[in-house]
Amino acid sequence: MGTQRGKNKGFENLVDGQVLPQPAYQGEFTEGEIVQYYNPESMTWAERIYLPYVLAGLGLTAKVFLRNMVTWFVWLTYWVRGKGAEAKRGATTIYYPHEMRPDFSPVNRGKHILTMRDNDDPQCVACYMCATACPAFCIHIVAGEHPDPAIEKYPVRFDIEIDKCIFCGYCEEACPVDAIRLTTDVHLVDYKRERMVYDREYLLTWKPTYVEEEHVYPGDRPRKS
Amino acid sequence: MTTDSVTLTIDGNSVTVPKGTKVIDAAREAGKNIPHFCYHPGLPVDGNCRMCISDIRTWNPRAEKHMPARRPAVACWVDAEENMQVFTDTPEVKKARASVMEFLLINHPIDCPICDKAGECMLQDYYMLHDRAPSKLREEKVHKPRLVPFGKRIVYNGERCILCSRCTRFTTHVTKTHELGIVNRGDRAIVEVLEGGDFANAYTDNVADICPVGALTKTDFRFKKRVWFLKHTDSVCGGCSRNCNTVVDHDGSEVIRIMPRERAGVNDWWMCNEGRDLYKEHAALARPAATLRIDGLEGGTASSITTWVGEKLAEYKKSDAAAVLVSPWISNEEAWLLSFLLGKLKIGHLDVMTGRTEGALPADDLLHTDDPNPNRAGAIAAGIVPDKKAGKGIDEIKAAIEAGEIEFLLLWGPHFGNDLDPELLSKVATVVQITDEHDAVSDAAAAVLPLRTWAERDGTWTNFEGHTSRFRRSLRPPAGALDGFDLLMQLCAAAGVKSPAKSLRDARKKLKQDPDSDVRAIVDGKFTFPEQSALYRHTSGAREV
Repeated sequence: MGTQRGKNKGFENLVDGQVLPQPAYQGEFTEGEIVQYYNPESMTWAERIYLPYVLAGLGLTAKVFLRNMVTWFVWLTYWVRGKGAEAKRGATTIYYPHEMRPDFSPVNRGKHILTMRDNDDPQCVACYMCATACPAFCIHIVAGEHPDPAIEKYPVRFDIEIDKCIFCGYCEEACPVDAIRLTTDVHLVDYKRERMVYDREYLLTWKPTYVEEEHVYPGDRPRKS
Repeated sequence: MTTDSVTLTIDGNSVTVPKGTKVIDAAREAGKNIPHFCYHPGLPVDGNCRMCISDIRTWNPRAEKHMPARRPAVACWVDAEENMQVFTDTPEVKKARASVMEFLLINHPIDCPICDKAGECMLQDYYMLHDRAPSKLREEKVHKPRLVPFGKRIVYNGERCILCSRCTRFTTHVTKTHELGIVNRGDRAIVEVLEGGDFANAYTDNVADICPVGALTKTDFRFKKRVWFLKHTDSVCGGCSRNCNTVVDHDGSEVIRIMPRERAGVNDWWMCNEGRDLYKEHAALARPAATLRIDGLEGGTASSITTWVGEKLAEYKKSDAAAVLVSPWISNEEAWLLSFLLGKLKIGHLDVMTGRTEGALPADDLLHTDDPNPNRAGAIAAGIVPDKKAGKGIDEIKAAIEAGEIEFLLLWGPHFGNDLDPELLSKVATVVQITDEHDAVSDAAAAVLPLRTWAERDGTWTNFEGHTSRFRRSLRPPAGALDGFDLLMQLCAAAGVKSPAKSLRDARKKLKQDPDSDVRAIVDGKFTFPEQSALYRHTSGAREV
């Protein structure tokens, strides 16, 4: 049995013919026996004196430093000509939050918004479909009677616990009136846990502007006039 | 073959029903639910929605064969006949039903997102089962009055209405108040409160229950909760001695609404508005805390107070100076165990209190009774009566308290104030109050133990006609509130009396088995009281039950 396992490093004590260390409750210890429970030492001589590897690490750091420095200098020549965005930057890090990555996917799911009617009322009719579909139970709605009988029902409160949200997009999918959408904004940070509950007024930030061309999707056939 | 029953086949299953039964009822007997909107077992047949359309073939004895149906017929209108053949889901029937659904949905505004009925709407369910096709209508839908108040409790939306006439038949045939009617013709027909009258009878909320769509909704439940978030627990209404069987719809911590549950012979399908509002009274209840007051000191835990009360009861064994008054809100099991305990201790001054009177409603032919307490009959039948030899009834106990003869008084349950003046209780040395409601006496009684309410415990109540109904725990009780039966078990242990039952379940079993107890018959639902008026005569003296 043990031939395959014996080849693995650190399992040298498990080769054929050797007696495996027994747990204490199964047998009695004989006097003076040393039971080895940990893996045997497997470092090489060069590893054990550390110095070559310390030097190798310093070399790697120096290499990256020099490479970045050269790249920064090249970038600087572009920057003085006002073309900083065209050249490669010296480091891959960015200075968050003053600088943010522009390369999020346009379909990335982030912070929610509630869409508005023309008079800035929420489009939402408080049907609780999003709260029902939500697998994280992070949407809390209180419905109320709208003064306009044509609308009838609207959310008096609409709270999303954004720190509980898993950004699955089910709320967006369940909404029958296109009232909730997920934006690409992922910068959802705060110092207070209480402020991670986004209320109706904070979510009501966007009014869709309907442009005729926007409704024509690439796959659509041209309409017959 | 008898002449008063007929045998027919429903989808190949043979079923025998009494003569005059409608095919839809016979199908239900055979375990087949024929879809329907306007049919309701508690209302006369109307047959206008055409949803229960089925292939019904009668037997022609001369030709000795089943006559092929020329067209499908409505199963709620046709009487079951001998040897009849009914097919409820052939392809033709399904096609006909899909067409009926299409007609019903022509002018229906699909406003399910804002409709309170969504989730328990028959139109939604049957659309998914029988239609599932998009609307072919290209014209604008017909607009009708929306948000029309029908009295203070009901809102009518004419656009959602499918004109099944269940509500109008309810007011015509059940309450016999004739408030609602269908006016206008064709696609302008709407339900209206007739003659400018007010829709304000005591049973208006039932029309919202029986409305198969969201045309009639309750103002009390309006936008409160979507129905799929509700948990349903079987319960019993304690608003009067009718004991309407109910379903308590709650979310675990508070009751959202109370709906009637079908129970033949008790409330059938209906329930009054006041009973539905009982949950508000329950939510506003001031709850007592376990307290023991001895020699000016106050304190104690529930278990230590229970032991103290039990030992006190044992002290007054065979004594003439102890009396027990029980509220008619006690459950049968609790009453049975309490009367057993007091019987063993030979405490004979025991009676049922008048209980609640503030919610009293005028008795009517439909449901209301004049006693706004649920379980007077069950408590009396379970043995909460004065001892036949020397026991004092409530009036005599009152006189004895006035005379200063009572030293120990146990008040079980709320609403004793209609019998006893709280100031009168200062003449009693030891008052023990076991209740679910904090009142004037809770601040002065020697011992107070908090009880669970009807919504927080299990038990049975028996109504004034002897029908027993079981209520179940729906809400989580507040911290410290004790289950009445468990408390009595502990009292038995503290008083040194061996309890005849190990648990509530055991007690319920024993109640049925105990041959000496009248409750046996009550639980079986066969008990009839010898004289109903005697039951509600709150007079003193032993009562023969």
